[in-house]
Amino acid sequence: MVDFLVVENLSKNFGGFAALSAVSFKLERGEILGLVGPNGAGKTTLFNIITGFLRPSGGSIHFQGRDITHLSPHEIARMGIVRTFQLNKIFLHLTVEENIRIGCYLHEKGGPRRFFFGAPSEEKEYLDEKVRKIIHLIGFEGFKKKMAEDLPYGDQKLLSIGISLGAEPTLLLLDEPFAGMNPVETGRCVSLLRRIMEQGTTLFLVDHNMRAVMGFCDRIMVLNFGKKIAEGKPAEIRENPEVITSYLGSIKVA
Amino acid sequence: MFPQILLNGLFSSSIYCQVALGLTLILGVMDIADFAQGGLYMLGAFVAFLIAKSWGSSFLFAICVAILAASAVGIINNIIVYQPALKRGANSLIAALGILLVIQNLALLVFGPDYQTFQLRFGQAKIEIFGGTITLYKSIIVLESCLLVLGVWLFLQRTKIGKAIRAVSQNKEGAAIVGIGSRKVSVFTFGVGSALVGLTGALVSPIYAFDVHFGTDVIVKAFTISIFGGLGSTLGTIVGALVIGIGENIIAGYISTEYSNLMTFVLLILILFVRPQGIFGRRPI
Amino acid sequence: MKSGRGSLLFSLLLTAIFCVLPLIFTSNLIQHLLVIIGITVILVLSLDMILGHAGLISLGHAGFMGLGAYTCVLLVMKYKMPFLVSLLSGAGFAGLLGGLIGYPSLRLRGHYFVIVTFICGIIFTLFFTNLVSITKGPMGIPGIPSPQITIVPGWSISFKSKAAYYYLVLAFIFLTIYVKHQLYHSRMGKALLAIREDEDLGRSLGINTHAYKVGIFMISTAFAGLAGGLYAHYIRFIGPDSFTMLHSFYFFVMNLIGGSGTIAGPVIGALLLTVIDELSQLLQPALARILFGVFLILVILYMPKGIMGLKTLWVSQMKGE
Repeated sequence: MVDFLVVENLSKNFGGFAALSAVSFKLERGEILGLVGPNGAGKTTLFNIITGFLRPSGGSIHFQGRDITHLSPHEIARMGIVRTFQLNKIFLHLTVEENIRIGCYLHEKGGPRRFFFGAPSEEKEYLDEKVRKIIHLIGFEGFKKKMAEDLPYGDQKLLSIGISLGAEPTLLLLDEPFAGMNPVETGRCVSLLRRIMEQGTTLFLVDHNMRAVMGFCDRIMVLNFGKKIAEGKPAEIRENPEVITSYLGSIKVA
Repeated sequence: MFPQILLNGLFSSSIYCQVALGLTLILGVMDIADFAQGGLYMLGAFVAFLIAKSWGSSFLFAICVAILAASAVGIINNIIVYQPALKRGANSLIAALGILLVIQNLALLVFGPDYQTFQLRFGQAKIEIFGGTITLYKSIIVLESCLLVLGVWLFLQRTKIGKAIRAVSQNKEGAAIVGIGSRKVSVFTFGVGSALVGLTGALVSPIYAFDVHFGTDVIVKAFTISIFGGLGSTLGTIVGALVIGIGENIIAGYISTEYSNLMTFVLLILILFVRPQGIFGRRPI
Repeated sequence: MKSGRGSLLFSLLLTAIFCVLPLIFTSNLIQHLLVIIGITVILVLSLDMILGHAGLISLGHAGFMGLGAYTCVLLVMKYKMPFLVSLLSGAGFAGLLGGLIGYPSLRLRGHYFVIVTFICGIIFTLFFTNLVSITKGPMGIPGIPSPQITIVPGWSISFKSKAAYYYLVLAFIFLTIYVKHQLYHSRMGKALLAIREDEDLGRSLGINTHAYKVGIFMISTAFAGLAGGLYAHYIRFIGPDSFTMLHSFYFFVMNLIGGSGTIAGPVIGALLLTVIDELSQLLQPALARILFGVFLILVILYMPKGIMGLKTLWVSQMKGE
């Protein structure tokens, strides 16, 4: 049984500054892994490296047995790893439908024949149906023609998750999905993520909302100053003295 | 033949280097590719020519006036066009081209379409170096450009304003937080950059015949040099200027003048393929 | 772009009108203008392929036009090749060079690419001027023959009259519009949209943004080269001064004024500015260009979305937003 995601000795240096030092961990298929740590701990750097937006200084990443360490973002997406961004990214000047439609890029066929003569109607219907399903999943039926920039912030974050679903990710990396959300929106987001997980997507998320992360994730990994300082079940992490020290004064506890 | 080509190349490099320095300053600080500088180069030549010929004053004085004129126009451009453009997020490149058109055609109306030439009696003595000859005037320019580059480098490294310029060019928001007024810095940078370009135009006015479109190809080469050398790097500008200046003279000497512009093109493509941030560039482009 | 029967009918009507224009306006001047505007439309549409769809600006397109023009003319006059083959070869060569320049420079941040296109435009002009052995230098190439297209051996069409040339150009305009239309509805179009709106988001969704940018730039420069070949065989003289940076600015302004991202925008822009340019011939050329420069600055500061942008504004105001 091939390992799902294996990160070994990953490091990243910026000039003299070590953003990540020898970080190693494994992710099992179907589990929900949470990544926490104080600001500047290296969480987004880790995400950026895994998804190809940043080059590592050392170490390796293997996904389903293949070495993805030096692949570019679009190649990694093609392998089934999709991410959302900390500073929420959506196509602001397009409608909800159009946003998700672009998300389905990997499942649309291209090529010169389709360019000049259009795609067969079954393919168009297949994509329309895909978009419909995703809109239904995130609960946006009522405003599928609304401009993305006109949505409230919480909905924009849900939209970004919806867009990434178009790519049918095997592994979904979420960079602070709950940031800026009130408790109601957070609850909606958690339900959405649960539904996504039930459909077979493995989730790896970063967030500062400890309550949501502890309640939702199967396992938690803690980074501080670019190093992994703890890994384990939520209950273990909560008791871990090093974690408590590193977070002193900066957790949003229950 | 080679020593002569080398000397010609050194001279060309000096010219390109000065202009590129001015452009790089502006590009680095304001992120604006100020193509209007082509007009300022031409302005420098025309003003120096007019002052020296019509007023009969010393050439040195004429050069000073040219520097001031170019600097003034550059600052005006900055204040009435570029800063508003940046504030609205408008495309400053198009604005630059608009300014260039205005400058070139105003000059056309004022100076007419003819090429001007200007003889300088001073410095026509020929010096022999390693088998090649170069006029005294040109060799003074080469020396002057070395000193100027050194001066600009020291200015950027040692003076308060120089450091402010470097700070803004590396990180605008960071500089603002620390309290460096980037509007003042940008006006100042435009003044200095334009002065450099105007100075060079004035210096070459006795060497080349010039009309209102003078400077277009120099600006192209200067931008190529900036890209080649890497923004924010004085050393890169020097190296780039040497490569293009000497390189095109080698091609002109050994192959034919027809292909010397090819040098610039090839260099541009090459550097973009191999190392897009420029040889010494630190900022990822 | 709306699809639907009403819009289709409207397009057919417009097409019919464009087809009969030279029959209505028989004056030499107007027919000449129609041809020139037509060729310009192809060029501005090609520019909008990168601006409207991918958010890229090229300030050197006149250079690519020139590449296509010189290649086509040299193939016809020196190597006696058939017109269509030469025309398409010119377009192909322009496209290829677009690829060569685009591949490294499209990795850079947005406005460095513009600088590169600007520099290349000027370098191409320098090539046209200096590579005298190939391009005959500043004197240019006179006496370019009118095109002759052989349909079947023994039967060829000659495009000597202005009206005939207009129809030749019109055919290529339809081709260009078709390609641009397909850009809206194809997978490539979706990729370009992502590139224009948020490139990193696009990459995270599996879109090879670099490949698409190079691709659309090559298509765009190829069409510019096509326009160049058509231009050369119409005016029947080309020289380095036919393809300067001033022309590149003009084309860009036409795109900007008309409005980018639509098919009507470039057409409107080309039409409007060609007419204005003709009128400004009445003025001193230097004065005309000064006014153009000022106009450029004002447009860029106050009307960034152009005429089609104003239409969108008007439409949304009518809707009461």
